[in-house]
Amino acid sequence: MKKLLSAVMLLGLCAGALSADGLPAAPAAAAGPKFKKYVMDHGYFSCTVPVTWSINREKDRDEDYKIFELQLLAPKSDKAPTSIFVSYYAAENEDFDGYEDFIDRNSTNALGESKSERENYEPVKKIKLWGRRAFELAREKLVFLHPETKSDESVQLKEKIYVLPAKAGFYVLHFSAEKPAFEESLPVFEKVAKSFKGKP
Amino acid sequence: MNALSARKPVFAALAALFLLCGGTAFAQKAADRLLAYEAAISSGNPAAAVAFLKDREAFNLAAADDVKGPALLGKAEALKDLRDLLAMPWDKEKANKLNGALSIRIDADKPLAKVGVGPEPEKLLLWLEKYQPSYPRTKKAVVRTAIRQWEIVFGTMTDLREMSWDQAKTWQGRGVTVTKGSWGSMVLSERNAVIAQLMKQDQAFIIYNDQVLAAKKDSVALQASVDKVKSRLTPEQLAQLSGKPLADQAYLLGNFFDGGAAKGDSDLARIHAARDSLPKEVLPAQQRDLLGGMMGPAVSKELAGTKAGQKVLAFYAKEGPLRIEVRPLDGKYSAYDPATRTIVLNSETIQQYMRVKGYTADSVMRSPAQVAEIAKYMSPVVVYSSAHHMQDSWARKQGVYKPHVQEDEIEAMSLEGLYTSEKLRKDKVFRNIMASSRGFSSYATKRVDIATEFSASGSKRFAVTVRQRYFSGLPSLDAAASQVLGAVSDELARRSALSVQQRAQNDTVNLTLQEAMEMTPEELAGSAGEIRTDALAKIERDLSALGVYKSRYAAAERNSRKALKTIKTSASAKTAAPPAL
Repeated sequence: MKKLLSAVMLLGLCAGALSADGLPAAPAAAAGPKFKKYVMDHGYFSCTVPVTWSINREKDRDEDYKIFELQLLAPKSDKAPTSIFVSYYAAENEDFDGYEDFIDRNSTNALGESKSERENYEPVKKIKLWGRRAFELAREKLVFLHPETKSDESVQLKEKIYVLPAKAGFYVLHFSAEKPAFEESLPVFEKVAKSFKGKP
Repeated sequence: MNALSARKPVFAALAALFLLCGGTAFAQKAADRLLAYEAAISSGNPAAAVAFLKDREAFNLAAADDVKGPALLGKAEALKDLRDLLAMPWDKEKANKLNGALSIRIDADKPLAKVGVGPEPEKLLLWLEKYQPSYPRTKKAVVRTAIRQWEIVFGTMTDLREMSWDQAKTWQGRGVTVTKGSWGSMVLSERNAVIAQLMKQDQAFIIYNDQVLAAKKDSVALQASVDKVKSRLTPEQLAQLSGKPLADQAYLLGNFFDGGAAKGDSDLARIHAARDSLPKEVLPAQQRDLLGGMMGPAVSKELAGTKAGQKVLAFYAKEGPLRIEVRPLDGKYSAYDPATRTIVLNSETIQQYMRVKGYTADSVMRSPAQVAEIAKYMSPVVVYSSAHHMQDSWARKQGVYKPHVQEDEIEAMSLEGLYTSEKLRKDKVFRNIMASSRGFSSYATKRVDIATEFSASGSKRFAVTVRQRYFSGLPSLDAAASQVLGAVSDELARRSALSVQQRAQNDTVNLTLQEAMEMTPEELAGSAGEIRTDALAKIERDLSALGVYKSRYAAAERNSRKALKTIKTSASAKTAAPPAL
């Protein structure tokens, strides 16, 4: 019986544990009622995230790759998901050799074209993102869903990416949606981006 | 095993409650935790399943029981896999893909059915309400479409549907009646079979099959091109087309506009690409064999000089020659044939290239340059299929059962993406062939797409894309293992009640290990009762040690990502360098 009582007491103590998985229970006051604060592991960055969007993490792979990122998925989407990735690429990350490499590989297709029948990459813009130096990339592309088969089923994506160099590594904020859904969720992305705080 | 058999229901229920709220840090003995895991997993709790799989002490304790351990592991893997699957960004346009993914997971013989998720698909909705209540309404609506809920498929106004079934025609009074009640007891594959029949009678139902839907769109686009081109025909030519089916019209148009005349004309290119080959463009069986023999050395030359290609060449240097066969393939550009350990290239894809380039079967046989060009064109999918050859070879050497899983496709597509990225940067001829072929060939466009996606995403996020976008209908390694383990452990438990003589007698007619090793997870789970006991035990041992498989996939991934990072962009390949800070 004593064991049972102890268990019940502990149950009360741990009641909020799951919901607090990386997320403080209370929404950040400054972000308004529809957003809450998210703090990435090791304090690599923080930002506010919309409460109605779901959050995906791959914690083990983040550590393996030294790429710490969350994917936010909109509750409503068309043919392709409407998603926001907020990522920190550590200096020793496994995928990109610095922010220039990331920009290079994301500003054209594999043929080096900025325009094709199925893609359109806007020129890379040098911008200031809330006082911080950054780059803005924008693109539209029609992507195949079954490239290893003869099916030509495709979706039209529109994307906006902010790249923020840091002393060690770099940050990427990536918004992707099917073209008709892009404008509707763009303010959410901008709000996430505006709340973003990374290491210098 | 003591821990599993000595149940203390009250404590187990309480401990399960702790797991439910994430209290895994609560200090308990491993045996107590195992009891709690078992109770929670049996009720379908995904958080408990994940906690159990991470709790090495409790996991090892469970594994010590040869019968109950694998069953618990199978259920836990299945729950974790279901949780991960539904966490993906499913939207209404991907409902058919989710249907495919759920069909292989929720059925009468699947582990999920033993934890209350199935076999009736609607049980998934109850599970979602209980364990994922925060999922948005839109995602739940997609799940309802994916499980083919009666109200979604047939509406809310009716409780029955009369339909023809093959030769049993409704209008002859011999149709089939499907009721809402019978629908409720059907598993997903049965519901899909009914819908497949309905598609034959009513176009409205093709929305439930992505491939049929895409084929319909292709057909509409081809019809539009044929109609446009008709304006250039003579009255005699138009008369020949009159009344012919669309495929025949495209074939005749190919004859009228022969010899690579599609240059710069998108309608003609679509017709040439879609039509059947003319007799002179067809590679007969003997010439296909010859071409296959010539392709091996020609492709090997292509692979040299790239990191991905070197990996493939190193494999074939050890494992024997790269053997290529050219023959028709249904719906794919290439395949690895494990029976002959040969890579098969789709002859129609090659013939399409020949049609548009104006090559004939005879000219290809006489021209090493044309063979080299075709080898260059097809080399990315040789790399893709060679990854599947490597996986098969590894499994044979390890002597383990290896199902086809998402991780296989991540490895194969990553290797192809790496290879194409390298070639586009290093080989101008390859680059020109791929760039120019995109106008008439979605094959070429797809190769460039994969290279673009792999290069831009990086290895980590590309894996997510393969799982979510390209192969969501294929089980992950965890899902396949849980599916097989559930069925196998149940069968072994059933046989443990038989006498030694009965088991031996049954085993004399049962399927051998070799036959079982060639089965898909689906086949294996469905026919566990017909497989020899020693074969079942061996497969159970294999799939209870997934670390062996995961280490191999991790090593392959590490290899690709390191190579990707070292690719430097040449000035000629890129146009949009970032401005200086």
